[in-house]
Amino acid sequence: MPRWIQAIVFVLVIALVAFFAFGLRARGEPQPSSGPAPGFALKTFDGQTVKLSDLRGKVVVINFWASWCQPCRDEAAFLEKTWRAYQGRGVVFVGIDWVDPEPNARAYLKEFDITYPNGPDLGTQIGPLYRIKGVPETYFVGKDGNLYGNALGPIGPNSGYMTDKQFVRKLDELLAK
Amino acid sequence: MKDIESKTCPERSRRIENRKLVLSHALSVVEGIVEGSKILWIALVSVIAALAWLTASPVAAQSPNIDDEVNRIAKTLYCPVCPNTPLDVCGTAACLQWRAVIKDKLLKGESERQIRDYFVAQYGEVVLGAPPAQGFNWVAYLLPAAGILLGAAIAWFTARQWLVRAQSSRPSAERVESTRPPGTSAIPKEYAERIAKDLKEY
Repeated sequence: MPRWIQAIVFVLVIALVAFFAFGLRARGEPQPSSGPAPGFALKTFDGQTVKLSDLRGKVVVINFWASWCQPCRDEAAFLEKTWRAYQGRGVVFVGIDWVDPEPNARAYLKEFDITYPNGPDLGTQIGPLYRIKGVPETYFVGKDGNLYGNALGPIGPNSGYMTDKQFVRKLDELLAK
Repeated sequence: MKDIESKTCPERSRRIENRKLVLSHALSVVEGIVEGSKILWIALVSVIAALAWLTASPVAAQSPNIDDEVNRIAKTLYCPVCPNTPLDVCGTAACLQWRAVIKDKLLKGESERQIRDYFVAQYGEVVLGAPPAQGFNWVAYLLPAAGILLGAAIAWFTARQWLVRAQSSRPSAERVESTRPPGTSAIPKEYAERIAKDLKEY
């Protein structure tokens, strides 16, 4: 076999292995819990645009949810209640609706009377930035724009991911920083 | 001949004329029936068409096959919640919602292309079973073809090498000849003389 064909085969095999290895590695990486929070611009259901970079100096709670997700429903009332309690203290809640038809999402917001900014993850672009594996997932962004932990499941009194008390304590800690 | 016959037998020619008359009359009756049945057919088809037009509505026209249509489109879409499972067989709540969206859009008269475009705009290209043939995605389409071509090239070169090796390891007549000491022949001398003699005599 000519040497140039051997060289092409060798290069192609190496490229393929590297390509698949890179893909597998990226897929296996866990959700971020520290470092700079991935930036995004969210167009809300009300037509407003929320940019994460504009919220610097505030504590931001990013919550990924969907109307078809029962654990999201379980935590929805608690999140809204906490938002109402903290909204005047420099905390912003941002809800990102993931893989959800818009009418169902709007009905969900109405059902739980959710008033903090919420919008669809159009084109599923924000979810991959946080490498979310499902919903609900909640991320905490400090005043400096860095991530300070996450809750990779529902938040509630009996949650194994984060209890409501832990959640409130987290907000207080981030506000104090 | 015919003229001769008619002259020689006037009775017979009259009978023939009568038969012709009867036949032409029968033909005209048959034509009349056919013409009449044509009109009947046209009238019947018109009535059926009118009834179908009066009773048909858009929903009634679509409803018998709407679920098949939903399944056909759902088969080509993948929900990110359950990757690698097409929408038509996925039983999660998210997929059921998506199927309801497809049905709703079909009932509104949207085409398959419009529905697929909607899902891509809402949830990204990840919902498609195959990436659209554009930009970097072309790699996914060209790589298999390139692999086949490369494989064929490798197979061809390898086969050629095998053939060359096989030929070089087999002792050929020329090579045997070339290894014989100069001045000697493959045929014994007495045979050669005999052949030469026979050829001369022949």
